[in-house]
Amino acid sequence: MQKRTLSQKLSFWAERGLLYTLLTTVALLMLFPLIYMVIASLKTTVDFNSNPRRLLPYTHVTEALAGRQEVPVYEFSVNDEEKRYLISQIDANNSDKSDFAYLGEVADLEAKVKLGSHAEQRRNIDVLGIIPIAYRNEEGQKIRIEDQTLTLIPTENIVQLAGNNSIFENFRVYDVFIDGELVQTWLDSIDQPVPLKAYMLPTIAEAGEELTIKVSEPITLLDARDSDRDYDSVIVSSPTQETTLVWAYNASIDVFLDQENPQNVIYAIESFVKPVEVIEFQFSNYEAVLGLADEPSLRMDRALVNTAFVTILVTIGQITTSLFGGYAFSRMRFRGRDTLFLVYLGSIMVPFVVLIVPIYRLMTALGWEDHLVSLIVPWIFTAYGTFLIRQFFITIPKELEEAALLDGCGRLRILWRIFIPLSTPALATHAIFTFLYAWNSFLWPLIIINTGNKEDQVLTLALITLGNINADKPNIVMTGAAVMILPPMIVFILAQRYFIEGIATSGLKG
Amino acid sequence: MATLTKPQAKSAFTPSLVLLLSMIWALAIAVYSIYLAWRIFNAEAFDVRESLGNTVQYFFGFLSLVPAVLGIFSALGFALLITNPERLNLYQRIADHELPPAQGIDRIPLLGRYVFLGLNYLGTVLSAFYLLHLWDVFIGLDEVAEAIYENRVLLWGLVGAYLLFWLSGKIIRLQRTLELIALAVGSISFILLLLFSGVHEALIYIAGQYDSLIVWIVTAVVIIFGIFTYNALQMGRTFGETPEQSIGWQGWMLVSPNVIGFGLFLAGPLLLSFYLSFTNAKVGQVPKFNGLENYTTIFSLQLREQKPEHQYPIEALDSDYSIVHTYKLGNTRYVLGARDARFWLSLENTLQFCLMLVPLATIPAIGLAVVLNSQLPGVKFYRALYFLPSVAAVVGTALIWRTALYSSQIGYLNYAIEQIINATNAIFGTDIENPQFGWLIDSRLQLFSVVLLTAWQIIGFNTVLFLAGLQGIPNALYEAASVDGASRWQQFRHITLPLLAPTTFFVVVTTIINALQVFNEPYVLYSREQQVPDTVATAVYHLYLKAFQSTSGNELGAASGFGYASAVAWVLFALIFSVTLLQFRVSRSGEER
Repeated sequence: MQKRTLSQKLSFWAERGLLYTLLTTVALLMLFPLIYMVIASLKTTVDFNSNPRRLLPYTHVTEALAGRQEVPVYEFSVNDEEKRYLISQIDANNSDKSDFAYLGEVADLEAKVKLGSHAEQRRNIDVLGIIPIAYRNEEGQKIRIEDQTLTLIPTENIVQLAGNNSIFENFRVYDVFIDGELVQTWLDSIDQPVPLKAYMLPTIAEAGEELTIKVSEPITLLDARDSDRDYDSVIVSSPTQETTLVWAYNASIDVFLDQENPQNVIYAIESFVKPVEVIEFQFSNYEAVLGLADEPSLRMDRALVNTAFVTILVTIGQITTSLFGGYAFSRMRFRGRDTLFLVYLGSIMVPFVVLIVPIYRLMTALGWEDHLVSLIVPWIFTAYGTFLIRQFFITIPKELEEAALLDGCGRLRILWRIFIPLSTPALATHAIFTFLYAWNSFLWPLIIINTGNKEDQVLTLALITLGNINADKPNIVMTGAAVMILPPMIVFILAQRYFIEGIATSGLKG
Repeated sequence: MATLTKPQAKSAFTPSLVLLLSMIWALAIAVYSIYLAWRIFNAEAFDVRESLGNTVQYFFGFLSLVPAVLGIFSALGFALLITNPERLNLYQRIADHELPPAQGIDRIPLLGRYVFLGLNYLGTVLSAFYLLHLWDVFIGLDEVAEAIYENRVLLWGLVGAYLLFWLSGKIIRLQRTLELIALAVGSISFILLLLFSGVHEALIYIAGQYDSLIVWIVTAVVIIFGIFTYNALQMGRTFGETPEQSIGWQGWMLVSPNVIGFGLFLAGPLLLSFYLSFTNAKVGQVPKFNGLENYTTIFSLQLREQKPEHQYPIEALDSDYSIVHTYKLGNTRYVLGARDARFWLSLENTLQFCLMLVPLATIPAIGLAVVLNSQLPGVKFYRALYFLPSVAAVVGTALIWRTALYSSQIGYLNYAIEQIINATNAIFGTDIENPQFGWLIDSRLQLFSVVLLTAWQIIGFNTVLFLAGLQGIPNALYEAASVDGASRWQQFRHITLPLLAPTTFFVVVTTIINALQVFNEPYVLYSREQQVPDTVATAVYHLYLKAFQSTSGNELGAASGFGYASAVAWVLFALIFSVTLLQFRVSRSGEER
């Protein structure tokens, strides 16, 4: 007996646990877009586009060396030790940077390019060598090596360079001859000029051997979609061997300074280096969208106020007209009432599609097009709401009203004193439906309000504009969506008890 | 009883004087409406902004003759009473229940009074509407919104007041105090808002409008109409009105806002739309009646065989037709063409959309509803959670899906698929390739993507409907079944599904009706493009282009403009209406059984 109860208990709890797990999983899946919207609205743009994907909002840590501008911090592992480095330049548009190129072997690159998307493969190309393709000589002139033969003499010096994933590799330093002349060169993006000659993989040449690099004819490679592209190629020759390399990737090389000892410099490509990040919520996104920051192209505050204004007026209007109508249809006997009610009920079946053109014409005739009034007045009359309220009023016992009538109460007083307090659930349902309908309406504002008219924009229109103009700032688009979606959600959560029961009993939609 | 309690109403005017004045006013209304009708009939440009054509002009001409007839009729009623004072006496006694009502009442004065009441009431409303228009109140709502925007800080006061009210319902102990504080905060910020938002400026502006004569006249007209309406309301006893009859006009007064709104924004537009669908109405063009031309254009379909001499399929069709589809049967190729090919393509898209949406939006909803249909604690919480997507604006959710889910590079949908494939490959050693779906780019997937988004939005709503249906199934049935040893699945299959059939039918029909009108989802998903791609252009989108974007190169052989768009709208209406009728038929026959 005891044992059986235990197993029953177990299966009972197992079933419950299973049910709740199922419910929670489905809820998480269903709500994922909304949850993500809220999280992403607190991200930075860089973080939004980060690869691999991550949910929480991370922000790049910035710090400043004494007396300088704040710059992002990166992490390197130097001799198995995690160290923090600051990037020396943050302005990507700064033309003072030198162009560098990755070189890859032809066959290797070809295989990779053919596999799939080129953009994807670019990242995985093994770095055979990095050489500067532009120098600045002592007179400050820029020299490009295209169409020139570059002669390199490996020196005994080795430089450490960060490759993929911030892992260091040793590179040999070379003396560079351009057309037979030794040129002293500097990288010009560094704070203090550090003479960097050039670097190649040490396997190609031994120290002291002379290397020549010659820009040769472009090589055409086919990618997975069979579209071809020309890649510049370079012939590197040492006394023992000759290799053809391809310019696989053009990038700017960044300079990283050791936080503790700024003389300690690392050269690496920024996108390959691991940034130092912390979880931080970007409430500034909301400030921008709500107009608290000075960014006119992102503001939606005017549209928010307009939408609230329109929605509240429409809701009040609908409630008023449907209260009167519902009361009359349920409690007053007048000639033609039932016919009128049937016709009115039938009008629920008329889809908005048929009314778009004529109401638009009506609005132009009244001179209301492009004004907020066109979003309010045509929508304060509702057959559906009248029907809903009437159905509810019918259930209220007649005796209550008759007593009041005998006491000499007027009809409006009865409506106000007896019917409204008794019908809170129906009114709440109707009010929330109207609220949602007015807040979310899109097609009508799209037709009647001009896109250029910033004064009379509502949220739906403003959000579309925001989404289209700022497609490069998806985090801001998410913030806009949150501003649009969250207020009705809060209203719904506060009143959902009435609301869901209201739908269930009326079985109709707004 | 009533006679004892009710004192005899002493009026400054004797009833006959009031009646005389009313009669004169009724005649004045009649004369003015005849004059108005004459003006309308002779007007060259009926509407200053955009002419709607002679038909509308004549319609309004005849419409304004109606008050003339009614005015004369009610004047006649008044005249009958004035010329026969004995009737007045008789009526008052009937009203005071001294005489039974059925005897000796002429219907004409009584009806005349109602007509007069209706005329004056409508007159008050319309002239007040016109007065508000002259005051620029309607357009002025923009200024109000602007003023609120300028003082938006004060809105927080209102929000705070609302929150305090909400809180007062939760904390019983402090209820009274919290309510008082909330009331104070709310009213202070409201008054400040009114003050700062320039009520006085608005009043000064309205006063400034009185420099033109017409505003004075209209104001006077409103006042006169109002006085006569009020007076006609009070004249019940004079006309021997019984309480039942009095309830009658009170009822009409109460529904009047709805009736006026119905006429202005539903019945009237519906008529106008019907009329426009038989014209060639366009922006900047006086509409001409062109019979059934719009409808024949829509329904012009052609199925032709592509003969060997036709190099391209389009050559098989008449010159103003374009291709909808080509079919291959054996060795012959058939070409289906239409004059408005895009209409048929968009209709096809819409129907495909319905076909895909209905199972996607109902089957999971049934499943969820069955799981949620238990008395377990917390179920209501989940029910509300599932409903949340239905609350969100399509514009917002479509943008979220576009950027966060459907994007082929950074979208979570592709990311999830990639993770699943990687996991499968790792566990089972298979070698499935990552498909890298282009949800919004791949023309085979585009429509499905729109369906997926829509289904996600309405599943919660449908779940609630199904839940309501499930709660109507008696529990005893399940108990009996489980006694008989039926499994869960058998119970679902043989009890739940059959008994849920009416709800399912209702949900499916509602989903179809809404799906036939889909516009927002495809529009927003592709709002960055010039136009929605042809694979997802829906019927309403086609209508939108035809009516409002007719200059943007969506012509393709067929007519466009308001007239043509109205015809398209009516065809759609017919389609939607037939679905609705079907629902009515079925649900009624279900009730009879």
